[in-house]
Order: sequence, then structure tokens, then C-alpha cells
Amino acid sequence: MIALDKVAFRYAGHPVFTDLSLEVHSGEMFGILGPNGSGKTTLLKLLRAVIRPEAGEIRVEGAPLARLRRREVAQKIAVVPQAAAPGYPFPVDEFVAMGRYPWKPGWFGLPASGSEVEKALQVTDTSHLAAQRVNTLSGGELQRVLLARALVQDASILLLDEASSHLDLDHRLAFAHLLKALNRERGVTIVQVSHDLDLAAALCDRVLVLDRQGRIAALGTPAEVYTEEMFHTVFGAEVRIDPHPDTGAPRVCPHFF
Amino acid sequence: MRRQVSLRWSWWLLLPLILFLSLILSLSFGAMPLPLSALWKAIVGTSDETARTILLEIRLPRALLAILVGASLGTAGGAFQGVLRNPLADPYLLGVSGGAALGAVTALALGLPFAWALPLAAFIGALGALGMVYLVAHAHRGSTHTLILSGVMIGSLASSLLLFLLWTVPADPMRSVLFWLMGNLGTADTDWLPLGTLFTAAAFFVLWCQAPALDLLTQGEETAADLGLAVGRSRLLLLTAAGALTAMAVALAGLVGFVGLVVPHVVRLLLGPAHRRLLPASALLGASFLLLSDLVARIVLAPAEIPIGVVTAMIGAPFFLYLLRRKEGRG
Repeated sequence: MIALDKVAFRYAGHPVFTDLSLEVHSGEMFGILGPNGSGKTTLLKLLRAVIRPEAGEIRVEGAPLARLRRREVAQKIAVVPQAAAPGYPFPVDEFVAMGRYPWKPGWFGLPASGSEVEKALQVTDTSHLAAQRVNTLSGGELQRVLLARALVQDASILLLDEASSHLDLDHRLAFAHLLKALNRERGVTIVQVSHDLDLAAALCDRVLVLDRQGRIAALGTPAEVYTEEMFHTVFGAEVRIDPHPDTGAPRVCPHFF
Repeated sequence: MRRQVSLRWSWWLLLPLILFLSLILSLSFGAMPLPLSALWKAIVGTSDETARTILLEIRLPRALLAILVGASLGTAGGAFQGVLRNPLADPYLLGVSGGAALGAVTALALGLPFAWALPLAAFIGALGALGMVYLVAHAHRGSTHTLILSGVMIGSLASSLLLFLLWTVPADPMRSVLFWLMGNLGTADTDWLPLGTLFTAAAFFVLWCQAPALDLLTQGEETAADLGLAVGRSRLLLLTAAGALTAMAVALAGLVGFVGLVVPHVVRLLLGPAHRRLLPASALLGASFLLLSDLVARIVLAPAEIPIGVVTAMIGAPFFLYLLRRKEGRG
């Protein structure tokens, strides 16, 4: 469980959050939505402990995040970044094994990683890429490999920052299936920032909508949150909401002209 | 995948073998050639006194020095390229070379009379410059870009101070400093060898233990932190160890360029970027490379000696370009 209690944070003197309180339950698939500049990524950075709140407290599984050491944070929370140029040409299996670092025993031990890496590669359907170098992967492959690296961290919480938003439709759907399976079968808590409103509605148990002042504009199931009025006030967009023909999840149809 | 693994194993036989052969070559060639049979006799002590003296008191200490300096620069280069996430980084990038030179020339300008004043001053100058870069760049929290830029600036500052000092120093000692700066294995006091070896081994051990942290740092500060690394502390430890290795090498042999840049790069092409392999392989290859370069420096224009830095660049640059092209060609 993740709990934010009266969190405040300013960025370069400019308030992003003034009083944010929120709970994400264990095993939940949680979406963070909001217009540009509403602080979605900042919220994620607070959860990653990359930045610290100026006031208030964040607790993860009961432990105050600010008190945890880096490796303890990484044992609880794994992050799937956007697929970007991966730098040095590590082979995929070694790249994924980096995720075992928080479990490294002692000062000069190497974390045992063979079976974990193999499992994560299987789950993400990347076993056939094990010996390939990461700089030769396609965008979709790299995204799955980044997910595999987060999985071997063996953390109960997974944070995603628009991890799949630049992928092609087929890869984006495959990635969504994978997240759904991880969430349902392994009980991994997943918190994701998303721009894809329809996919978030189909995927998430609950969604949070932040407005441009970093306040909670709406919080609840997609069906509760996705209203024409909310999109009007928060996003300044005129839309119609109708149910998806197969799933019944709310679907956003913007008025184009 | 299996093919790649077996290839990797063969490198661990090949690299020590290359080092061994380089050592033999380096010991047998020189003003008085010692063919293998003579070399063996000199080692077991059945040869004449002259050959034994040449081997044990001239060539072997010099070869050991080359191994020490080459291994240090290769390892330090690999570590710097990892911490700075930049394959073009070399051990001198963060002001180490400028600081070392400034230290050495200061010792000379002050007329410090001791034999160990020069290397000691160079050592202090090198680490001092690195420390200053670290503080100026707020490296505990700052980005690698700031670190590199600060390094270049502090280096320039040290160089300008150096030129000023050289201008004030009388011409004769200045020549010897310039020669020393170009890199030279001949002038070093071999009494430093045991201490240098211990020191190098310790720094190497620290870096090697931190190899997984180096791997993480190549992914950028934020990702490294997400993967559980205390980035600031780790970077301080790594820069200190790699900086100390470099400072030691500079104190012993002046500014031998190119080894720290090209050797880790070549190793990465051969064995991949994982630092558990990269660092020891760079040490082995760096040692071999410097042994052979020193051999060339000694024999090409004998009895004169070419500065070894000139040789390392002359051999290293074309070889590197060849490897690069071959790699590109294979895609």
C-alpha cells in the first residue's frame, strides 16, 4: 500500500502540490491522468524517492519513504522508464540482471540472478533476445526488456511513466495485456501515468485525475471519474463518453470540429 | 549465445598470454639483445654477470613499471568511461593531467631537492584537481555533464598556471619537465614499485567490487537510483579510486596518453560493456599495450628514446580506427 499524507512540493519556487493526500491499495491497478503541467510525473518522482516532499509524508507498506535507504526503496518499488537510448551495448540478459542489484549481498558479492532473469524474460516474451545487444532492439522489444528488468527487482509495486505511449498499437496492446496479467496473477500493485485515456479506462481499477493546480480533480473507478463535465473543467475539452461495445468501460469521443 | 560465451572464455586465456608474450619480448629486446636461451639463463642465474644485471636491474623493473602504469590507466579509463557515461572519457578528463603537471612543475619551481618530490607533487596535484572538480560540480548531486565541463575548465585553469610557472622556471629544468610530461618510463625511480603495486592492487580491488554499481551508472543517475544505487556515495567512491589509480600512474610515468581511452574501448568491443569483465581485461590489455609501446619507444631510434606517449598514440589511433571500421562493417 502507498499512502500520501498532506504532501506538498514546489518546483523552482512554483507550487506543484500543496496538500495532496491519497492511498493506493495493494494489488491495485492505478492510473494517474491529467493535463500537461498537472504534476503527474512529479507525483511519480515523489513515489520513486527521486525528490522529497517539503511537507507531509509518503509511506510505502507502512514504512516512511524518506527513512528507507536506496536499496530498500528498490526492493519495494520498481520503475519502468520510457524506452530511450540505452547507452552501452549490454546483452539483454546482463541488462535485465541489473535489476537484481538491490538484492546484492554484502560488499563484493554478486546477486544470484540466473533463474530470476530467465523467468522475467519468459514472462515478457523476450527469451529469444537474451544474447542480443540492447541497442539493437526495436522500441517494443526494448520496452518489454525494461519491464523484465523491473520484474527481477521482485518489488511489489511497479511504477510506469507513460511507458508504452510511443509504441505502435499492437505493441501497446500486448504491453497492456502483460501488465494486466502481472496485476491479476501475481498481485503486483501497478501505478501508471498515462495519456491514453481509453486504455487507462479499460485497464485501471481506479484512476486519479489531477488538475492544473496539482489538486485531486477526481478519484475513483473509470466509470465514476470519466464524465463529460470532468473533461470540460479539467482538460478544457468537449467530449462525449460512451461505453466500449465489448467491455463497457467508458470511452472518450472528443468533438473534433 | 553459447558461441559468444565460449568466445569470452577464450579471451581469458588469450589476454594473459598476450601479456606474457609482451613481457618476454620487452625483456629480450634492447641495446643488448637477449634471445630466449640467454633470457632463461639470466633468470635461473647461469649466465654471465652483465646479462643478469641488464635483465634484473634495468629491463625487469622497467617492464614491471610499464605493466603497473598500463594496467592502472586501462582500469581507470574503463571506470571513468562508466561513471561519466561517455566512451570518449579518459582518465585525464577531470583535470587530473593538468593538476599533475602543475604539481610537478610547482615542485620544480620551488626547487624541492628530493628525488621523490616530483612524483609526490604530481600525485597530490592530480588528486587535488579531481577533488576540486568534484566540489565545483556538486558531483554528489549534480549531473555528469556538469562534472565533465567542470573537469575541462579546472584542467584549463591548471594548464594556464602551468604555462605561467614554466615561463618563470629556468630553461634547463623546464626541458626535463616537458620530457617527463610527455610520458617516460625511463626516469622513474623503481624504488616506488612495491608501494605502487600495493596501491594499484588496492584501488583495482575497490573498483572491481563496485563493477555492478558501474554497470548501473551507465544507465543514468535516475535509473541507477531506481535500481537501488546510492548514486552520490557510489560516484564519490568510484571517482576517488579511479582518480587515485590515475594519479599513481602519472606520478610514476608522466602523462602517458591514449591507453586509458583506447584500451577500455577495445575491450568493450571484444567482451561487452559489463565492468566485471571490462576492468580486469582492460588492466591486462593496458599492461600489454604499454609494454609493447615502450619496446617500440626504446628500439626504433636506439640509442635515443621516443617519448612513450608519442608511441601509444601512433600505434593506438590507427588500430582503434581499424577496429571501429571492422565493427561498423559487420553492422
